[in-house]
Amino acid sequence: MSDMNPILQVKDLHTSFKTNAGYVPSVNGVSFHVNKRQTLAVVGESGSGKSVTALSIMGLIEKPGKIEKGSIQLGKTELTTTKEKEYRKIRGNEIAMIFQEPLTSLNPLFTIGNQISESIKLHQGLNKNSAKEKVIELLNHVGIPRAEKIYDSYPHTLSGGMRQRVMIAMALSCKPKLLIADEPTTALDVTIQAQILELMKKLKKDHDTAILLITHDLGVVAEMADNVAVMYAGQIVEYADVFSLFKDPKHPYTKGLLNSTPKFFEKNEKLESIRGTVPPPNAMPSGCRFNPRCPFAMEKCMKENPPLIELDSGRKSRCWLVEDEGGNKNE
Amino acid sequence: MSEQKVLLEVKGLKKYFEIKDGFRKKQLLRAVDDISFQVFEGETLGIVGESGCGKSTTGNLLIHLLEKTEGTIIFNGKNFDTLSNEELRNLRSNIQMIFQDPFSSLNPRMRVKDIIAEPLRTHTNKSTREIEQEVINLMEAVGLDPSYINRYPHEFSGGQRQRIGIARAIALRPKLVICDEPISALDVSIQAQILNLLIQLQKEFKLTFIFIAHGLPAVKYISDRIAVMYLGKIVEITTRDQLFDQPLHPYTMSLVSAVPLPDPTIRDDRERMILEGDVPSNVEIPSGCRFHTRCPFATDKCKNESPVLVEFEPGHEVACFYPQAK
Repeated sequence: MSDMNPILQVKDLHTSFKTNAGYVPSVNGVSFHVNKRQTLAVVGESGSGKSVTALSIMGLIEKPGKIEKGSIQLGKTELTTTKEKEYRKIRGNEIAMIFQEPLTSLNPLFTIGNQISESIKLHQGLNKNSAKEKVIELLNHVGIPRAEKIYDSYPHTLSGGMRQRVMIAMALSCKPKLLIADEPTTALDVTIQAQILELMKKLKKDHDTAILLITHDLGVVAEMADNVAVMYAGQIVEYADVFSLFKDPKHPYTKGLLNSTPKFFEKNEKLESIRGTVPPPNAMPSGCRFNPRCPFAMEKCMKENPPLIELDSGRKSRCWLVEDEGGNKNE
Repeated sequence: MSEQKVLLEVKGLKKYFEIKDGFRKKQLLRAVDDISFQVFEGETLGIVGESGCGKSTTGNLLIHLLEKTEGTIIFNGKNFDTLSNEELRNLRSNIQMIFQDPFSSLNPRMRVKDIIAEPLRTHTNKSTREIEQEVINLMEAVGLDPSYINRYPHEFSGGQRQRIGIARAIALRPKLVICDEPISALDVSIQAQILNLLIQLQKEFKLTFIFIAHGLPAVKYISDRIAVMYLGKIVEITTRDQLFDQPLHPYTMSLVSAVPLPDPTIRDDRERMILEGDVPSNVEIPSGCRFHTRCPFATDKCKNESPVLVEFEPGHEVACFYPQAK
């Protein structure tokens, strides 16, 4: 858990969207870092701010949204102050992103080859023929059969799994330091999901890529992650290495999430659920944001939002209960 | 298990769609291709499979939203084909459906009370006051605050909307409820709420469920028996525990082993069977066993002959020449 040259360091990120009721914060003071060859999983439900965090890193927050505060450092570059023209050199080159729905992320009017070679030509200055060679090599690398034929195909002729492979090939085309994967397998079938997850693991090993994996699926987290940040209502509520998190979750929300996931090999267990729903960003409860749904809520929780309390083991939990376990406040 | 009453019996059910593809000649899309199964009263039958396997089409055929191409559906002792329109209407009030997307399955211009009351108005002769009281009871039964009775769907969250859909589905006290991916559009913490609600309602109203989903963990949680579909056919059907302890069909085995489990300690030494390639298209279905193009155990026989669903052991049917018993 050393902080030795993290590839990505996010500190106190605040991203808001302007609505009729003024600026509504969607991401509210999020800090984390991702090291080389590491996968950080960001878990949360819809509205937790996980995707907005990813878009903030990619510099893709558009009006009426804006990054209000905080810093995002990629290596030594500060991204929040980077101009759009500079950002274009980083995006697709040093950071790449794959999205949930590969069909809407590909342009239907251009061939696969055309779309992948675009970024290679742009960032690496290769000519048409050597770019084509490179693309075919990439397509083979991500496990696409008959790569020469697929090169000239249009996106609609491919299946969901194939399209996601194309997206991954595109993302890898410039050997990015950081790959952001936003729900990369949610739209895919189970057997295809297994293929794509295997592929991502292999890529991490082969290229030392750091991966920021955004998902709501705890199974995928357990399968892929080194470290996990659990997000709730725009904040990180728990941060831990993947083994500690699943073995001994500290935050009541994490506990609730784990208990509401079917265990699969245990028989007839009773599934617990978390009562209520995620509060909308413009109507956050006072005090701890989880208090209306928390089975352990105390009086203090209604009044004061706990800081992310660090425990000796390096894990963190945003809960007053952890304070009793000897955590130090430090944010 | 053996002496249970059969509520629904499906024999040789087929649904073919004719599709025109540009200038090419018409082709047949075989969405559901000769499936047979039974559903016992009071049980939950899970149907799992990947997209295009025909699980939703099967659901739609059972509530008569689609006209079947061939086959027999016998519900509660009555054959669908021989029913008059009047009887068919009656039958429909006994088979209801819960849909996947609670955002598009509720009319945005109707109030909650009208959405839930609609089946009561159509199928019963109750007075307006009786209906309103019934709607309040239903809202309470599914965990909705009855004071929201005059609200519109957009004022509710996804989980609450799914509850509205469930209240509508059980309004007529149906015998059979078909749940078509009822939780896949919901958040994790809400999925558990809805699953638990369904189980509770099943006991309370003595419902029989057909639970269609692509996610195995949820199907396993709620089902008594499970049918696995692949490209329009049932490849394996058995009790829940047998399916997970002793899967016989290679496709079932790969499905079970492909589920990412919420336990990082077993991720490196878990046995996995990762299939190659994609599900073939329903228009160009492979010869012989439909799964042979992706099956690691396929032989020449599988390429030429199509296996039928046979009983391997009591209550455990599989369509495979080489069942992989451990």
